[in-house]
Amino acid sequence: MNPIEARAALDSIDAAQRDLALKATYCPPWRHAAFAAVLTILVLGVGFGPAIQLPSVVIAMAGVAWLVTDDRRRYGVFVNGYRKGATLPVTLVLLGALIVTMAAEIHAHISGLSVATKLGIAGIAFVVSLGASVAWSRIYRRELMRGAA
Amino acid sequence: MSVDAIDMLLHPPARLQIAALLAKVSEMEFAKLREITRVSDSVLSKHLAVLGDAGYVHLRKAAVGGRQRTWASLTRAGASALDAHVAALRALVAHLPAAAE
Repeated sequence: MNPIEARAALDSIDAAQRDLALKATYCPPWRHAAFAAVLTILVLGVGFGPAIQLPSVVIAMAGVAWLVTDDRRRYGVFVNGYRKGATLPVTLVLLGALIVTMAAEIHAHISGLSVATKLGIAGIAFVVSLGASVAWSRIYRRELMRGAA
Repeated sequence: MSVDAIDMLLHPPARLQIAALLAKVSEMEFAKLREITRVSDSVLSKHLAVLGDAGYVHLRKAAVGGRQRTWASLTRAGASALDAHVAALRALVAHLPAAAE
């Protein structure tokens, strides 16, 4: 193999990954909202004790399973959110935010704070999850479009 | 890094593209791979079989939407081989004059 052939091989990698970005990374707004809703259910359930928390975990897990199945059917691709790469910081920030909001819900439950407070915390979780989902998708797409080869 | 580091299993363009695509996802369905690499079913099957035999790609069958489909993913060995191969390609390209790039 000579350098020109090597350049062509690297270019073909970039082209394939750009094609992937164009054909399999569009995420409609409802998909971001659905993802955020699933995480919000998980967070909100924590604020209402075991009687609500357990069903909320089941509903959230079913939601995750549905999103994964729909992604596979729609795009023919599955990408793990915990993948290495430029998206990992977004995933870690989201995880941190979820832990903080869950801790806040636990505090609200133990302290007997109002339902409005619990809904407010869940609202924050929704906004953060929504933003993280949008950011994750954009960064992933940019990574593919940029090409690493 | 020398030309010796070129992995001949990843040398064919379609096979290199398959590995590079799988490196960016957790799993990709056969039809999506075919669509992006623009090869026929039989050619893609052969490339996947070679990569599978080498331990670079894992193949599994799963039903999605009631239909049986083949899903491919890059193994750890495959990811390492791809990284080494791309590094070797970059080393080769480094010998190109800037204008030729």
